[in-house]
Order: sequence, then structure tokens, then C-alpha cells
Amino acid sequence: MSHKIEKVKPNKEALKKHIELPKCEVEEGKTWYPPDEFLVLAHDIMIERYGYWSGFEVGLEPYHCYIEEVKNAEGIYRKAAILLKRIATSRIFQDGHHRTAFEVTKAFLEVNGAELKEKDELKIIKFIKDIRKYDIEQIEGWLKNGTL
Amino acid sequence: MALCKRPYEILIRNIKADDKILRGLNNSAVKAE
Repeated sequence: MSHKIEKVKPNKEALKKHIELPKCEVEEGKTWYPPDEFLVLAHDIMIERYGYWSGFEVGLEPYHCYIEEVKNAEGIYRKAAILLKRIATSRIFQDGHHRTAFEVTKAFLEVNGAELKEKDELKIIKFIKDIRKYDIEQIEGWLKNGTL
Repeated sequence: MALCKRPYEILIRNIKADDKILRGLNNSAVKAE
């Protein structure tokens, strides 16, 4: 997808076309952290599939700081909570932060052998929409137990 | 260190499975505008 700023119409066929998936480094027994390319691909799919503004706002520099913060945290759910909150409330892109943050965090947990506890779709939507209300500890608890 | 596509495969699979959630989150962007 182009990174110029433009309003994109939703395209439900976006995931039906062939996407050449990149490879990334995964080392058994070590925590995997989503690289820049992973974040950008997740975001681009969100915008192409569900619409709204494409392109960057401030760019990837804040993401590098978030990843350092995630690396320095203890525990996979604490790391995931930081990742979710920081991406969701950032201005990396023009649009799509909540959607991108959710999918990147969900994949982060799964690749590292954990999972999102909450399965109820409406509860997930409400929590992610309200993410600014919650601190890292609350988000960690929600990811791990499905409760605040 | 191994190079693999697994994280990307998980991402694509989850996005397909989470269609209702992602449409729900997208609605908040519509309302915010």
C-alpha cells in the first residue's frame, strides 16, 4: 500500500488477494518483538480492509521507543499491555491505531505462547475503545484474566 | 535464529477471524470524525 495520505474506501476483498508475507526472526525460547514491517503491514491491512486515512502522521520513531519499553518490562502480559496501550494512543499513523494495536498485540501474545483471555467480541470492542481510561496494570490484568 | 513467516500467518488469520471486532473498532473512528 502507498504511504501517501489519502482517504481509502473499505475493500472487503483486501485479504483475498495474494499477500507475499515477509519472514522475520523468531528464536525458540526467546521473546519475539514485532518489527517495524509487522506493524506497518498490520496497519496497511486495517486501512485497506476497513477504510479511512492511510499514511503516517509522526512516523515510526515512537514505535522504537515503545519496543524498548516493552523489552525492559517483565512478564509477557505486562509487555503486551504496554504494546497495546502505546500503539493505540500513539500518532504513528493517520488512522487505525486501535485496530492495529489490537491485532499486533494479539499476534505478539500468540507468537510468544500466550493468549488474550477475553473472547467476547463486544466486550473486547468496548475495552479497546476505552483504552485511554486504563493504566498498564489494568490492561495487563484484562489481557491475562479478562477482568479489570 | 530462524527466519519464518509464522508471526505474519498468525496476523492474517486473526484479522480474518476478528472481522466483527475490527468493524466495531472502526465505527469509533467514524463517530470521532
